Amino acid sequence: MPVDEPHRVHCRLDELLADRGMTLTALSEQVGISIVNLSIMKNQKARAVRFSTLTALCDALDCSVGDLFVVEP
Amino acid sequence: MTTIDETTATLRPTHSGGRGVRVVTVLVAAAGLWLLVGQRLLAWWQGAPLTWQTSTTARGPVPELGDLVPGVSAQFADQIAWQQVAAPADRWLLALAPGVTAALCLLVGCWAVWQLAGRISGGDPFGGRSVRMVQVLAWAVFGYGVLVPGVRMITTLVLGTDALAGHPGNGSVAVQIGLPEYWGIPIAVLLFLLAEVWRHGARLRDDVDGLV
Repeated sequence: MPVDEPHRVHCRLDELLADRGMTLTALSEQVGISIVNLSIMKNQKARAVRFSTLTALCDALDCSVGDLFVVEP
Repeated sequence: MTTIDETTATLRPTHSGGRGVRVVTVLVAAAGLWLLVGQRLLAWWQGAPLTWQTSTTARGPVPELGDLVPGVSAQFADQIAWQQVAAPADRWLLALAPGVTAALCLLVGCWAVWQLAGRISGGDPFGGRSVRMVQVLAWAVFGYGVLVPGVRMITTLVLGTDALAGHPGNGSVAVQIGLPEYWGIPIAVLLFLLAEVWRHGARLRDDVDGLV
C-alpha cells in the first residue's frame, strides 16, 4: 500500500467509546488488541485494519463497521 | 526493549542496547586511531627512528638457534623490519599515509555504526537512513580493504627504493598483490547485499505501518 495515499475515512472509535462510557484500556482488555493499536485508530493514524480487528471491535462495541468507520465528504 | 507511554499509548523504545554498541564503537575508533596514527605521530614527535616493515622472498640463517633435531632447520623468512634515523618530514608523512587512510575508513565506518545503533535502539531500524548507513559502512569496509593495501604498497615502494638508493648490491624493491590483503571486498559485497535486504525490510515496514 502506498505510504502517503490520502483518504477520507474517519474512525469513530472515540465517539462510540464515549457513548458507551468505556475506556480505551477496558476495550483493549475486552478485545485483546493493544492499547497502542487502539490509540492509533482513535487518533486517525491507522492506514489499514485487519478483518479480525474489525470483527473484535464490532463485537465488543455492539456496532457495525459502518458505525465505526465513515467516509467524510 | 520498549516501554508503554500511558498518556499517549505509544511505544517508547529504551536505548540500552544502542548505548552499548555506541560505547564499543567509540572504543574501537579510539583504539584504531591510536594504533593506526597515534603511535607513529608520537614516535615522530619524540624523534624516534622511522620504522616500517616489508616482506621478502629471501631467507637467511638464524644464528641464535643451536643444534636442532637432525633433519630440522630454521631460517629467517618473510618480514624485514626497517629503521631510518633522523628521517625527513616527507618520509614520516609518507609512512603515515597508510595509517591515515585506514583511520579515515575506520572513522567513517564507526560513524555509520553509531548512526545505525541510534536508529535501531530508537525503534526505527527499517528507515531510508538506515539503509544509507549500511551502504556507508559497506563503502568504508571496501575502502579499507582496497585503498589501504594500495597506499601501503606505494609507501613501501617509495621508502624501500629510497633506503636502497645507495646500496651497491643487488637489492631491489618490488610489489606483489596478495589476495588476503583485499579481504574488504567480499565483506563489502556482503554488506551491500545486507543493505538491499534492509531496503526490502523498509518497504515491508512501510506496507504495515499504521496497520492495526
